[in-house]
Amino acid sequence: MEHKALPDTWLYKQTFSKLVPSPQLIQEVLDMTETKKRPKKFILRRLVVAALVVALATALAMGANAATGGELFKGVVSFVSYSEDGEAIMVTVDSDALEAAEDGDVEYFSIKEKGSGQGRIVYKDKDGNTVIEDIELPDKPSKEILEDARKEGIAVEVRGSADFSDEELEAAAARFTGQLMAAKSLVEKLAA
Amino acid sequence: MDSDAFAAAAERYSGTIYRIAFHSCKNQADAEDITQNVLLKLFRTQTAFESEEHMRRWVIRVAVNECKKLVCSAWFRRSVPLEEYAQTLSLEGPEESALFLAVMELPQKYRVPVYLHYYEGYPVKECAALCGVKPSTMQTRMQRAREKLKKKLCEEEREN
Repeated sequence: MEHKALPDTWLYKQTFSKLVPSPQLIQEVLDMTETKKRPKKFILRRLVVAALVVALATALAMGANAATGGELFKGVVSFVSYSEDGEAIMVTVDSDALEAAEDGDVEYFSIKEKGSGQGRIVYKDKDGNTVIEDIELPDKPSKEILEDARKEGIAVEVRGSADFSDEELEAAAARFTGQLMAAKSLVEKLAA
Repeated sequence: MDSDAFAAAAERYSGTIYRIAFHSCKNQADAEDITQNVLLKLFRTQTAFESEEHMRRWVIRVAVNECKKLVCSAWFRRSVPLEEYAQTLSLEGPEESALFLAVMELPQKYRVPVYLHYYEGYPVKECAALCGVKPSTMQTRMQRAREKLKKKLCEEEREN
């Protein structure tokens, strides 16, 4: 039986026209553009995303130069982490990689941080099975994690506003870098 | 863009951006964040828009890209269950509720194309360009989305 709602664009529009942002949201944006002031939550998200994108982009370039491990590492599609206010952030590397993963052409994995310091890698193995493995962040101070990463060729650039102390920025960078390093180790182990 | 022009554009496109974001994230908080990001990008852009349609396409493209960057789900976020959220939307009658929930049950990659096609009225080829995928891929996605919607809505109808 053909459902009458399916090709009915009128019903679709009627239904989803009720999905609207709150008037406060628009007012908040207008206020921001007038005063150039942003709420802290917004800055934090942008900051963290910026840090992640830089870290991943560099790691991907590095991965591409490796042998079999590089092939797998090249397929990273996403990285999920939590900002300090507990909100999740997921960064996709680029749309081409994402599309390829959706079409099942490449191996891929994503990293999901479960809580403070512990992450989880989800990847598809060569047989197409989804494998989930927990990863632990290195038990080291932030500075050491970042130094180790730099030696491996991962340069993490952190940009932030005056709302954040240097320690906060460094800790955020170290968390992502630590997870990347742990992911890289796992990928190398898998490739071996 | 000057303040008056931006205020008018924000008023005009905030709904579209929010709906695209909600179709992608199924989450009010994320959808609002994405809406905010896209509007701020619109404010800061140096792009000289040739027409209203040019600006509309730019906004949709940026919204789709923002959604890709911040793919999210109820699994990751504290969110209100969709049934509860649907009740706050003042949907009229079971048909609208069923359609809302059926669309939201579609896999993530199908929801935005369905919105662009059915709500914004873009043909499949245009949806492909706006989502940055090949037309053939979009054709397949739309076909699968329609099949899934049909199945779900027919099941709903039988149950009622």
